This record gives sequence, structure tokens and C-alpha cells, in this order.
Amino acid sequence: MAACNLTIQLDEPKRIRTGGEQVTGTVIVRCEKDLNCKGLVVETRWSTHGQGNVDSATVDETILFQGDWQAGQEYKYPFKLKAGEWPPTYYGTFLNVSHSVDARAKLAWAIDPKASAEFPLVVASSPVDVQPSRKQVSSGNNWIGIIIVVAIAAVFAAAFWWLIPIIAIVAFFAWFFKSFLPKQLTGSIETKLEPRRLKPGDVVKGQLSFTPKWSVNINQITLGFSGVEKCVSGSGSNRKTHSHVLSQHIQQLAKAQRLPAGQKQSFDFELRVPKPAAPSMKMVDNEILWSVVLRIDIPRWPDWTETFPLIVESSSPAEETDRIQAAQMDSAEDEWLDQVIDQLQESQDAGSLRLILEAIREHEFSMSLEVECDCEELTTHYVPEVPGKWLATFDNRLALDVCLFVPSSMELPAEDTIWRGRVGIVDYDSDQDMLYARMLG
Amino acid sequence: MFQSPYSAYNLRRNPFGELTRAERAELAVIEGLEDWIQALDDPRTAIQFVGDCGFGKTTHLLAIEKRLSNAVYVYYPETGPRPALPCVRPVLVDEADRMGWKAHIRLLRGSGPIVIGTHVDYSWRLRLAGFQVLTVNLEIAKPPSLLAKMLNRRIEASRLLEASPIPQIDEQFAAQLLLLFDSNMRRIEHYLYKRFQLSISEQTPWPPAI
Repeated sequence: MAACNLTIQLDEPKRIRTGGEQVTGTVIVRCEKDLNCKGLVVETRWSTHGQGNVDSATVDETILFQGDWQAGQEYKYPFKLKAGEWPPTYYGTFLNVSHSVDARAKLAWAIDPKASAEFPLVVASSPVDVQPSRKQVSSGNNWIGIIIVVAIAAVFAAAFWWLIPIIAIVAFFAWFFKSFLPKQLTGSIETKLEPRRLKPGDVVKGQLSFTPKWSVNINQITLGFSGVEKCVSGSGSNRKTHSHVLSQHIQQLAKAQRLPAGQKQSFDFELRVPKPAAPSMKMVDNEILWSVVLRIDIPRWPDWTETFPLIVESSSPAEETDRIQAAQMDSAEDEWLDQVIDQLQESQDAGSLRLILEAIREHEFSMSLEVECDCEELTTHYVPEVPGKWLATFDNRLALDVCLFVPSSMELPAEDTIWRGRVGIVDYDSDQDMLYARMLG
Repeated sequence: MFQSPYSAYNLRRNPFGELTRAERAELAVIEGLEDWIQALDDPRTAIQFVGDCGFGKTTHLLAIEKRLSNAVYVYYPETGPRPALPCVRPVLVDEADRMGWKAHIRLLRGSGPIVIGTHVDYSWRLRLAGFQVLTVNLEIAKPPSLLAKMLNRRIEASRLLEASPIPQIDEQFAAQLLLLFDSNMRRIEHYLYKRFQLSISEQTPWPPAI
């Protein structure tokens, strides 16, 4: 048994904090035996977790107590600490960012007991370089880092000087094929893209224009827009980059055609950043990158491409708070649906089943259903009052077969797709563990 | 994006993601650790952990480093400047096959126990230098019970609430993983990470059927 037990109680634990605000709460210590504590340290910190190496930093720290604790006693230590300003809380696929209050009691000759409590954090604005502030980065003094990098570069250059001409030749060929050759056909290419820094839901506008030197055939001109989580794990030979595409959209600006020589070609375009969208972030081994790629696809010739990095800022705290609260409500709804399904499955007889169905007759539930095929066999007593079609579907979360009635007035979801929407529960077949639901919207 | 998807499983993170160096040492489940620690009391002991990438050489070294407060851990990168070999013993050398012959000679001439992680078996060279060599081949198949214990320890370290249950990996599931990936922990962890994320996005129970 641990010598003592720590618990952190945050004030308003579910409240969404804004970057830089105060986090208050209490550290509760329960001791099993007499102890001397060399320091009860509490700190606010952020850290990444996921496929990439952990990036983390302590934001604020204080020592709440030093001294003796007696066996069987409970001690409470209130704290007030500053929350981080950047990055915001984020839960993705390869990258996650959490903010927490961590407590640790430093004990002599014993394992230090620890406790941690997470809290969601939104930010008012993204920093210019979307990096955590220098003083928050865990990797230490920046000047030392620069000196080390310069020293390594100098050692590398001294040891591998013969690589320099090879690097120069590779760079020349890259420029020759990626820039010089395409422009021999297209002529000088002008691009405009504004703004480069925007919020979810904002529109970015741009223009691509050029005057071909020669008549040139093109396959197409495309505009690509993507957001990617990029994380690096391991180091040295074990270093591996993991990328997960958050959003990808390719728009065709021009179809296959012949562009006459000397005639100016101009293509205006605009695209909207999805809403919600993960904010751009840049930590040491973890990034969220957004970019626009323009491509002129030339048959049997190197394509011309240009990449424009974009910075997608965090939504405003009010918008994020609304979205989190909506997500919390969805979660509460899921719990309510789980309880209803449990009660239906546990109902012993037709009488109690009818009673439950009657009680939830007016209720609407959110469901996410995988559409399989038309429902071939119906064992329900429910008779719809409007014409429509029954679909066999499956709820992955509940691992439950659902027969879904779709009124003719509503759009029929396609097979092998996931339909999300609101339903009313109309019946339950306990023999086949089959739920009958009616699509509401 | 803001609501932790892991809380549905009473976890605060995906248990199979990357860990910090300290966490790796803390969560390592190493059979025979106490025997090795005892063996390292003898200054002429050399322990070598042999295995390909992903079989746990670094984790074994970090677990020993955590137990021996006076030990020094040195990692030899594939490229770039090589670190200086400290005179302190015990010394734990990761990726010893990248040391270069000069550093090798200095390592073998020094007095005091050494522990190395390597892709290449150096037992003859160590014996020649007068060390009593203990070779641990990490590619040997692990028992499913041990793998289940290792993975469940990572899950436990990601627990959110003490009072609520968390997913568990049983021996049958661990045996399936060993069939698929042998004892390569890195491949097992990457596979489980992706399957866990998939369970979150599809809202399906975990562990999944494999």
C-alpha cells in the first residue's frame, strides 16, 4: 500500500478554461503512516500524447507544503496556478494535447506519490509562429540549442566536406526539373493567395496566372487543400514520421486542353477552411500543418507545383466553448440511450416492454448507423402511419442490430454508408435483440 | 477535438502511444531484472541485450538505469557526432554496434560492469576482454502471460478514474498478437495504437477481435 495518497480536486472541473487564466483547486493528501514530506509540488503543464515523441512543458509551479504528515490524517492544500496559453487542448488521431494539474509529494526513501487532473483549454488567439512560447519549451535554453546546432553543422561540414558538391548537384537537378523545365512551357507564373492566416470557416482567395511561351497541352490545373497531423517518433535509425490526413480537398481549376502561345491564362479560385478545423500547431516532434498546393499537370513533362503553407488559427473561445458543451450534451444523450437499451434488453415480459416503449415514445435519440441492406424480415408490431422503407442497419457503438424505418418523405441513406441523425424508438424484439427505430431527421 | 475520446474507456490517452524516457523505464515489465542488478555487483560482468529494432533493447537498458542510480546511459546515434564514452561504471551503452572500434576498445579496457544493447552478438569479444558475459536474446518468443502483463501495465498507467474499470488484454489476445508480430513490441504497440483509435472512431468495444 502506498505511504500516502494524493487526489486533485479542481474547482469547476468541467469548465473550459481560456489560455492564461487561473486554475484553482485543492490537493488532498491521505496518509497511511507518519511521513516527512520534502515538498508537495503542484504544477500546471501541457503535454502531447499519441504516435509522436512527447512534447511537454511546465507552465506554473508552486510548493504547497514541506514538513511532517501524521498517519490516518487528511490534509487539504488549496492552490492557484496559471494555465498555459498555447497550445489548446486537442484530441486527434496521431496527436493529442492535454492540459493538466499535476501534484507530487517528494518523500524520503519511498516512491513519490503523484496525482493528475486534466482540464480542457481553449485559446483566444494563436501565436504568430504557432509554437509554444520559448520559456515554456521543455528543451531548455535556446542559445545553447543554437550553439549546439552550429557546432554539429561545423563538425558535419568538416567531416563530410566532399558531400557539399553532391548536395549542390542534387539541389540543381531539383530546381531544374521542378521549376526551370515547367516554366519553359508555361512562362513565368504569378500566384496570389490571401489571407495566409485564417480561422475555421474563413475563405481563402487566390489567382494563378501565366502566359505560355509555346502552345502547350495540359492534363489539368488543380488546387489541393489539406490539413495533416505530422508526428515523429523515436530517434536516430528508429526515427519514424507518422502522418494522418485531417482534411483533403482537390479542386479542378482547368480541364485537359491546349493553351495557345502568348495568350494570358488566369484562374481565380477560392476555398473555405472547414469548420471545425484543427488549429495549426508546431511543437518539436508534433505538428498540425495546413497547406494549399497549386499544380499544372503537363503531359510527358515535369509538372509545375507550388505549395503555400497556411496557418489556421483556433476558433474563438466562445465558439469552442459552445462546441464542447454540445459534445458534452451528445455524451449525456449517449448515456441516456445506453440506459434505455439496457432497460429494453432486461425487460422480462411484453407488458414491461410496452411500458418502457410508451415512456420513451416522445423522445428523440441521436444514432450513428451503418446501413447494410433492405430489411427482409420484420418482427415488429409497429405499423407506420406513412409510407416508407425499412432498412437493416447496425449501431457499432452499441453492437446492436437496428431496423430503421425511413418515411418516403425523407432521403434514403445509401447502402454501406454511415447515417447519423435523430430517431424515435418504436419497438424492440428481445428474441433477436433487434431495435426498431423510425428516422426523424 | 476538445472532448477526450479516451474517457469513454476510462482512459486519459491511447495507452500504446509514445512514452517519455522516464515513463518507459517506469512501465517496463522485465523478468530477471533483479538477477541482473545483482550480477552487476561484480565489476567483470557484461550483460548484452541482443535483438533487432523494436524488441525492447532500449527499454531494458532504461529499466536497469532506473534501478542503478550510479549508472550512466549512452546512446550512439546512426549518424552525426558520437557521444564521448564516460569513465563511470556501470555504463549502459545503447546501439553498441555503432560505437566504432576506438570506443569499443575503451569500453572493454575500462574497469567495472557494462550493459549493452546491440544488434550484433559481442560475447566473444567481451569474454576475450575478461568479462563474464550474460547474453539476453530479446527475439526469443515471450509467453502470452508476460506480454499481457506488459500491455496491461501500459493500460493501467493511462487510467482515468480509480473506481471505474478499464479495458484489459487477456492471454488469448496476447497469444494472437505474438502470432502476428512475434515478440516485436514496437510493431505490437503500433498495431494496438491504430486499432484503439479505430475503436474510438467506430465507437466499438476494445480490445477488438483479431
